[in-house]
Amino acid sequence: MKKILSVLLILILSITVLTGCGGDNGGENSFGDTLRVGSIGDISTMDPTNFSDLQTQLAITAVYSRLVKFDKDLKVIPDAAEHWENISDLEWGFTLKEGIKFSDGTDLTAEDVKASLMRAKTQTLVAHIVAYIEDVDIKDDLHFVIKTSKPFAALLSNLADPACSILPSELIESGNDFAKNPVGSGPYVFESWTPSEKAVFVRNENYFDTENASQFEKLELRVIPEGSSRTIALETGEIDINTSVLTSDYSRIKENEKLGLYETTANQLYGLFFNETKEPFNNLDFRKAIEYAVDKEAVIQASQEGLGERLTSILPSAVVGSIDAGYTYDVEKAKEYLQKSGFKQEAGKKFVIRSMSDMNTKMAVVIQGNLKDIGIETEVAQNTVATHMEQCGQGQFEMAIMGWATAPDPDRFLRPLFHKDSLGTNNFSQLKDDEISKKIDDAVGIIDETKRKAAYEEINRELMDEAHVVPITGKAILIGYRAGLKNVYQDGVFGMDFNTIRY
Amino acid sequence: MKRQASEISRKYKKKNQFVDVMVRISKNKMAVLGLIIVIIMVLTAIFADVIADYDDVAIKQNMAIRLQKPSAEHWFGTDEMGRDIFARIVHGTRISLYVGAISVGISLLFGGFLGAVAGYYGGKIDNGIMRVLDVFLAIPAMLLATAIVTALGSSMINLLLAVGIASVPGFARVTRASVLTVRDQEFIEAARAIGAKDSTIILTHILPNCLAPLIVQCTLRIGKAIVFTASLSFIGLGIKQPTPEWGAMLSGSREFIRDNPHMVLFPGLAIMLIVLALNVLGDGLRDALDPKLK
Amino acid sequence: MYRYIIKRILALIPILLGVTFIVYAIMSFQPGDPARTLLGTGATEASIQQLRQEMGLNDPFIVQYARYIWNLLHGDMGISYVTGNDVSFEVFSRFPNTVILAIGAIVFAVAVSIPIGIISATKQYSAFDNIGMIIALLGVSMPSFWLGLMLILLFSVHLGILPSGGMQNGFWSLILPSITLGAESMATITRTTRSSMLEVIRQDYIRTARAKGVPERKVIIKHSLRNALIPTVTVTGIEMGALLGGAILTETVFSWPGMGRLLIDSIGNQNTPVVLGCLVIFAICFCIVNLIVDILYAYIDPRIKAQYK
Repeated sequence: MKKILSVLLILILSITVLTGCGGDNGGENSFGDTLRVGSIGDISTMDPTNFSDLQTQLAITAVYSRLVKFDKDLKVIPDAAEHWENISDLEWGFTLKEGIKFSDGTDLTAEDVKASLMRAKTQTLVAHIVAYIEDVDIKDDLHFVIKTSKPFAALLSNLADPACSILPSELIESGNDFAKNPVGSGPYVFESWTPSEKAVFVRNENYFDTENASQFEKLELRVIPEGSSRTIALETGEIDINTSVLTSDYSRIKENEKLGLYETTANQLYGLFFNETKEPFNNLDFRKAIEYAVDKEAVIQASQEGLGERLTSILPSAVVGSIDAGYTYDVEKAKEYLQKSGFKQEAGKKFVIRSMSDMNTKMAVVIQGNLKDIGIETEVAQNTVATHMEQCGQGQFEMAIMGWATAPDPDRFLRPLFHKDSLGTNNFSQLKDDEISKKIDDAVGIIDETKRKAAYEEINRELMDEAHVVPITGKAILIGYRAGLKNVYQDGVFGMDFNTIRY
Repeated sequence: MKRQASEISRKYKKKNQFVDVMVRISKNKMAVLGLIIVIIMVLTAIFADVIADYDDVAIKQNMAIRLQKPSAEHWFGTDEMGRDIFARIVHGTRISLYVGAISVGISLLFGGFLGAVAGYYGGKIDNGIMRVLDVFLAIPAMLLATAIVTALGSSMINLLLAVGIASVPGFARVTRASVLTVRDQEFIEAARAIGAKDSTIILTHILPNCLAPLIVQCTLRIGKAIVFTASLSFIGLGIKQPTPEWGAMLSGSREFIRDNPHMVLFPGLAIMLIVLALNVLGDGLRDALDPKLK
Repeated sequence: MYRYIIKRILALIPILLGVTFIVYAIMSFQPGDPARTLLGTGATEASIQQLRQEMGLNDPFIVQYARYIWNLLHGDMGISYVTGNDVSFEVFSRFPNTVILAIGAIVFAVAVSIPIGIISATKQYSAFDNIGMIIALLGVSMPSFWLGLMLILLFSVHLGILPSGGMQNGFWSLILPSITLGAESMATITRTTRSSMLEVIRQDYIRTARAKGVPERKVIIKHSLRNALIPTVTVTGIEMGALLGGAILTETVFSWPGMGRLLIDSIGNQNTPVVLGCLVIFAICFCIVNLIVDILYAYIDPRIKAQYK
């Protein structure tokens, strides 16, 4: 009995060692007909107006076109629209490219644009993106005018949002379920989805932008939630692209000759927010003390291995209105301000710093140490995303780590975070400042670029002088890929074009 | 006179019983080893502050020395925040034992009560209680605990409750089985005949006879509770930062597993060691207390 | 026999009701608004309220619960708060993966533990016995997620011969997760098999068989095993129930696309319909497994079989 068992064991072990586990890739530098992409999460739907996660965004932009899109540096470039101009304060004229067809063979016309935008207005998740679009005036198949309800300088960057994907108007009318049956004019056509595993797309042979047609026949988005597994999969050639490389794998991938790494930072504000309805957070000196007490470098070191953007104000550097507010890591100054504020640490009383992810918690723990150094006792509470957002939105917190990533338009940052109308949703600081709210409202309508920049810089400076937030970082975006691929990149709002990748 | 005599003989028997059990255990080498390890862990927990200062060592961040391999200065190396892992494991002992013991205490109280009532009264009450327990058994303990902690927040009390609930059916079953064997014996009938109240009977006559299996259950369940707590911390619920709970330490070191395996090795070893010790001790106790092997 | 089975199936109903009620109740305590999570940051108060109305979230608890049960009886498990897909779609697309994992674990556990248990019993106190018992002890004491991490460290990171996660590589992907999930069961079943074999071997009828000159192999397999297996089968059944819970951890460590991970993610997102959907399936499986174990039990134990003849 024992002998049989041991023989079996040896057999199994040797088979295992000999065959090992090969990736389904032929050689080191060869690529198959499928571009295999490893992501941290699964897509949730194929309906462009019904999602809010980044993985789904990749799938949506692969299958649908919008009027305009972002390039690598978040500048607006043409997609389905060939040309546009700002005719008047409230009117924008667009010209579509000729000969764009949907994957079901029908032509893409102004009708479809209008139907899609009006539909987006009815979808609760994305309505706010198209809120200022009043109506679409169709001149002919390729020409139309978008009318806004107020002067809206951010129209173009909002139109680049995947929520404004163009859908066939007939299918909208017939009540097509785009989540299951996505029909778009993008570089890929949806083929299949195995939840928690992968989503498969095929090249759209009728893609209008023939120069940028996909070189690969198929695109596979695979789900590999565990960071180290994802990196291993890239190293063994099981996947061609890793869209979320762990910051702790940064050097490993950089130093691997067979792999390439694209780095950039997200257009994002990650920082410590205060609930200013609670004592002593309503005290300016107390807040300023914390601004000087936080060692931002250490925070970034702990949470992102030192990668990512160093923020100096509420708006990231890619956004108009970004400034350097001048807060440095200065323990002495922090103690000074703390004394000025008259704060006394009570025994046993600890402020709570809320977080909603492991990365958040790492940031919070460093901040906890920093605050302890100047005499403020805190504890860190990690919750799920849902609970965290709810509690912070409702003002049930003292301090919280929040991340806010959106299009590079200052209004998309300032309005939800600091406008008094956003109280109860995203105005975490509970700011009820009429003046600031008015300034935000006014700035939206300024079209002149110089004036706009000045206006937003002013708002930014005022908010920073009042120390409403301690801005720390924007996440590092690291895309790992097999050497031999070109044009692999991701833009600051986590968007990626797979069709332009070449080998 | 008679009462004094029976009291004396009861006390004498008890003492003898205890010594008896101790002797039998000492013959079981594994169990003794387990007992020693448990004692060491308990001492570590009690004297944690002496071994390594909490504020200065266990939770003090120091980015300059992060992710270091084990060395003479840092026996178990440092973690991603530059904290000494050995110190964190030492303090983690305190938390694990605390949560383990108290949550099992809670289970013992509730489970023991339910089991005793079910076993003693039998019939519909028994059925009813067992059905309710069946429902709880049909929900994976992990899930129930996760739901409780997510819904009610991750305070220490909720955690103790969540971990405790998982062991209640086990204690109830064991208590019920013991009560059933004792219930129909003559001395119980006699007690009832004298007019003793049900609660008196249960507390003074029946439960003492269930002690043996309950003690074994306790020892085994504490081990399970420790692993359970670590599991909850592993998936992100459970003990709050920067408290060095072993499971949380494991979760935090996953992304560093390739270059810094020591971060994953030591907390896991700690968990395994104490659970192993408790299991071996529990087995030894079970054998020592088993009348069949006398 | 049929009566017994029907009775057990009927017993499912109160259990399912109890399970769903308890979890529904607990989930309702959660702070956080599913509508707000769905809409994400950047949503207006108005749109949140509208969504709440659409989702029926403003109705009293009992009404929401009753509505859920009613739909459930019609086979409608509702819609995921996160993706908007049918819950049945979400759950059943991952359910087979968890089943595969569970089967892998049990096969591993049984294939390893029964031989070890038998041999340890027949060669009690030998080196084999001691090593076997130590392995069993380790299996029960190691936290499963740590075992998983250690296995990944050894086989994926160092040796590079097994995948570190996911289901992409077919059979090879199943090996480490099965071992991880099955380790604890393996330990328990080994010990149970060993102790029940020990008891059986000491019985008089075994001594008689040996005295009669029956070859040792036949003594063990034909005479002892059948009786010794009874507690083993029981324990295996209990372990299968525990497996469903343990799958949650194993699936997390190995990124296994099963129900366990879906469950944890959904609890975090307050995705109550999906949580309940998974639970209902879990509970049904649990009861079915218990039922099968009871039937198997009846077949193996001739005493019970006789009762129903």
